[in-house]
Amino acid sequence: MKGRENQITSSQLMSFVLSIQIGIGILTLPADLAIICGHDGWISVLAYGLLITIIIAIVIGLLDRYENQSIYGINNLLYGKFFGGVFNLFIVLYLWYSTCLYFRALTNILHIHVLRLTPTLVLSIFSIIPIYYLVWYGLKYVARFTFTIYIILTFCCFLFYFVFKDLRITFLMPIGESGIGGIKNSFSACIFGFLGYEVIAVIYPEITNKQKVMKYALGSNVITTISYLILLLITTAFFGEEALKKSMYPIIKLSRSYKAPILERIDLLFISIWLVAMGIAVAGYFCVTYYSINKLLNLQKKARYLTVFSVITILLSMFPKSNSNLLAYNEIMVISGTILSIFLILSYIISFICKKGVKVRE
Amino acid sequence: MVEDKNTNINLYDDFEKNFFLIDDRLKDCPDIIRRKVILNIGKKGCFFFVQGLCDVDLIQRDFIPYVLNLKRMDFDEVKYLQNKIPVASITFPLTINSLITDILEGNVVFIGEGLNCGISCTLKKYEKRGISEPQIEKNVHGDHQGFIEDMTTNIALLRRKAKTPHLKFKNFIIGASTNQTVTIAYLENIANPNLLQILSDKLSKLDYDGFLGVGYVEQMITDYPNSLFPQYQTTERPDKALAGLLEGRFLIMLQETSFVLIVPVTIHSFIEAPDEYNSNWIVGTLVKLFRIISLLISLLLPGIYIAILSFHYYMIPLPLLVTLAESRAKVPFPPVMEAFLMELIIEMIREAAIRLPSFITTSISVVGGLIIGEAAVNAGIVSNLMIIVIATAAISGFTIPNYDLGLTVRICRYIIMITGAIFGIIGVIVPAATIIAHLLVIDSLGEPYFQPISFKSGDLKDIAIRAPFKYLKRRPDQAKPKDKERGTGK
Repeated sequence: MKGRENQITSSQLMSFVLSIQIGIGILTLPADLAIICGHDGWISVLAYGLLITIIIAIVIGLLDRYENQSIYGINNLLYGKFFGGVFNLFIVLYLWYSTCLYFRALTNILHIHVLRLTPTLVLSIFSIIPIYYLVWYGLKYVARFTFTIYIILTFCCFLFYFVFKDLRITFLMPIGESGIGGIKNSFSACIFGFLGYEVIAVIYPEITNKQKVMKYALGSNVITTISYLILLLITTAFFGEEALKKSMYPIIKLSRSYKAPILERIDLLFISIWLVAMGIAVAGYFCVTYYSINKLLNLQKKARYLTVFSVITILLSMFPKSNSNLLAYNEIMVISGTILSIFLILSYIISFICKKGVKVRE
Repeated sequence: MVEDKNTNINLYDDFEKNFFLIDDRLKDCPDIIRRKVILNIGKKGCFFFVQGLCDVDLIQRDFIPYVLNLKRMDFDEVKYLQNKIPVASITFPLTINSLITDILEGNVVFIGEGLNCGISCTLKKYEKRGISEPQIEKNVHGDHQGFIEDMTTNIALLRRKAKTPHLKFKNFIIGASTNQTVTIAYLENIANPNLLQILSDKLSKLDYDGFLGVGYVEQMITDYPNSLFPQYQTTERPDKALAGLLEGRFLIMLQETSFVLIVPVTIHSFIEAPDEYNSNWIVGTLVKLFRIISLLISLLLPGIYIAILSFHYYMIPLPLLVTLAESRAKVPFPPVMEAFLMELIIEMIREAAIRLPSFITTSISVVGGLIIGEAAVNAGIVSNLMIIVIATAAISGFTIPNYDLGLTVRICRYIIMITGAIFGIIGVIVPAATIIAHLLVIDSLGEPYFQPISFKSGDLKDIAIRAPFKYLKRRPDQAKPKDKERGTGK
């Protein structure tokens, strides 16, 4: 079994990327977009969904040019040991930063919506247990766990179906009011929702059936785009532009607004189910970061290093003090994620000039 | 004289020396009979057998007279000897050790002057239980046979159900002091040879003095000995065992135990019973769904109830909240204390009922169920709703067909109750996620345990529902069977 604990299949990659993209991003996306471009957020989502699809295709194109190399290996080949090492360090720092930020978003929601009096530190320690457990065993098991995202999305569809009769289509009219400017301005809000695809560049060597990677990776992005599209259409048509601007987590508010026959407060049920999705998103970044550190530094004593890594992650995730603070940190993640994407595209172009290590095709 | 007592050697030419060696090893064993005789040709000899394991009538009729009448007994004649003694099973062990092993296994063994091998003849007869329905795995539609403690009978039961030369048995001797036989049974044309190799390696590495039950073997060869979940399925039912064989799985049968182990298994194997497959597929599906739902209820309901009552009382519907508040008002304890008090009583009733004779069990259930339950509410120790919740969880726990999994669910339920009392609904979700994570991590004989959920969606039609047989033409993928199709494939 040694050495196989990280191997995943392409279809597992799909749910893995999908859950990282959707888990945290779905919470703030509708409100952020409503503030920037009013009721036309769904057009931006479509546009950026398309853009990200192209980026994923390029990233996989880059990885496909090399024989079983992750972005770390490619960096070393393209830019030499020193500069490659520096770039690798930045990628790992970015991944770690995202882990902490996502983790903070999760505990923040628990803190605000479920247990207001419990200290965040206690919540962090408790909710990291399953993540720690899965990452202990390896990427394969995290990827196996991500299948639950499909069940959770199905549950969301039920929620959307229940509120369907209360929708007002007029809230969506007139279509395209915010124009091209709206799409342009919604860049950071949308990219935050779509980030997560970059992990493909890191875990690519562990995928067993590589000929299907393109199909499944794009598939995950298509599912993300469609889910966001439905979410935006429904939240906008349900709340209207103005109410949406003022709600913090529209999807939780949506579940609270639905009046179920016997049960009171469906939102708690929704949060507890969505908690799993958020947990997977955190676990995804957590796992990829630990995997990267492990690969780059070749760590052996798992018990010690993983515990240290978890403790540091929990402590770092304590940094954002308030919600607005959290938004500022999100902005940093978006910028660095964008830089990483541009870097990957540049690397793809450079790989045509500097052909060291490129796979020879017959 | 140390060398002389070494018994791991061929028989000597000297009869007296052979007799001395065997007799010395078997001294102070009054159950072993040594019957010295003088053959018709004038040579000395001795019969050894264990009283109570051999059929003495048959030995006197079919073995002793023929041996006594042997004309010549030299080494060249050995290959003709078996023609002269008309018993079904006869061997000629050469070493003293194998003679002693044969004696202890219940064979009757003869050594004689001028014969440099023993004559070992199998004429066993010992007391054994009749075939009856297993107590903890009853069913409605299926047959009512169960395995018993005798391995020969168990193998015969399987052979009666599967009349195919592909049904193979592979024996190992385990137990440093007990020398038990453990057997792997499998269908050669279906079972995966790699898994057979892994299993054989594990069994041959076992090192312990004695295996009192098949659970010993299970715990020693399992990959995750600290996991709460049973990774090998124990059964006493031949039909379940055969169903496992037909899916390419292996049976581990231990001598002198009525339980056999099925490997590799999935979590789903523990919540299915032969009944669903014997009845109509719609009924089977319904029964299966009920069982899955009751498993979830048994696992989660008390935890969710405690969490909601302690932290999220605003989730309770208003009409229910009033009556709930009324009954809770009399109770001085927090919900989790209340729940554990009830669980403790139920556990005590259950433990008491297992060991006691059935006529006392009835009075225990009356005292436990009616008196304590009713009085506890009146005395204001527990609330009405809590009794309903705990009792529902306990009863749904009983629907799990496997005893081991039932224990696991109970322990997990307690953990969820405690965390639910501390963290509210998060305390239910996080342990539940950890349990799923654990199920995804562990494997049974190297094969994923939580299959086919998240691995092979094609096999789902036999998990969540019980599809009609025409859709169940493929074997489940878990045991990686060589032959994937059921039937001849026409």
